[in-house]
Amino acid sequence: MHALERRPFAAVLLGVALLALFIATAIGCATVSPMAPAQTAEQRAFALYGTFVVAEETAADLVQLPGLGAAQKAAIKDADAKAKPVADALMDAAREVFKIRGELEAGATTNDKLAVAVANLERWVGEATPKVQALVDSVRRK
Amino acid sequence: MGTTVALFASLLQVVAGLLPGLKDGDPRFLAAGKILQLAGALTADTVKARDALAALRSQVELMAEEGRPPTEDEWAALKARSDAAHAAIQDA
Repeated sequence: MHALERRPFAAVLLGVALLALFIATAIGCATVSPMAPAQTAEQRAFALYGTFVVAEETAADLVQLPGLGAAQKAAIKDADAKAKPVADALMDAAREVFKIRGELEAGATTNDKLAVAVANLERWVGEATPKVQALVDSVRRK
Repeated sequence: MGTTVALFASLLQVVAGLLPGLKDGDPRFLAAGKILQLAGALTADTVKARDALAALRSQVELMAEEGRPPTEDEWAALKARSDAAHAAIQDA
């Protein structure tokens, strides 16, 4: 006789847990990308930083769960610790572009300065993207 | 769909809370309660994250339609959420 046939309670429990896992995976795979509609470097930066924040909030909930293993918790903490300074630098670069754009409209600076700030922002988007992805992956693997 | 899944997650967590009290604290029921609690929490967190990403996408779509960059207030709101979540993760 199969082990689960002898333990109907365990079979029901396993079924429910698998169903929950299936639902979580299905929702997780139906990706909602905030990056897709972004048309400028600042909008891309905002979408990326926002994605990072959502991943952080999910991670913050996960690390409170008593059933989460120590290694999994450490992996989340590590991914967050690596992503946070880069994500904040990305945000600072985007705010700088916003400020310079305002100065340009007021005639207080030049287009060159804005071009340099936008190039710097694009560089931070490139730098932050893999680190945010690493945090998202560390949360998804749970 | 989101509401149905959220209800399912809540149901799992309610059942998980009841299980440890059954059969005079039978260890099997305690273990089952922990498994269901984890499954329920993971499902609920996935739904919450998906809703948050959908809200963010709508916000970016609006910015793109209006042809404007994110404002200082919008950045400040995200930064405050990030700082709170970061502290919670690192303190856990």
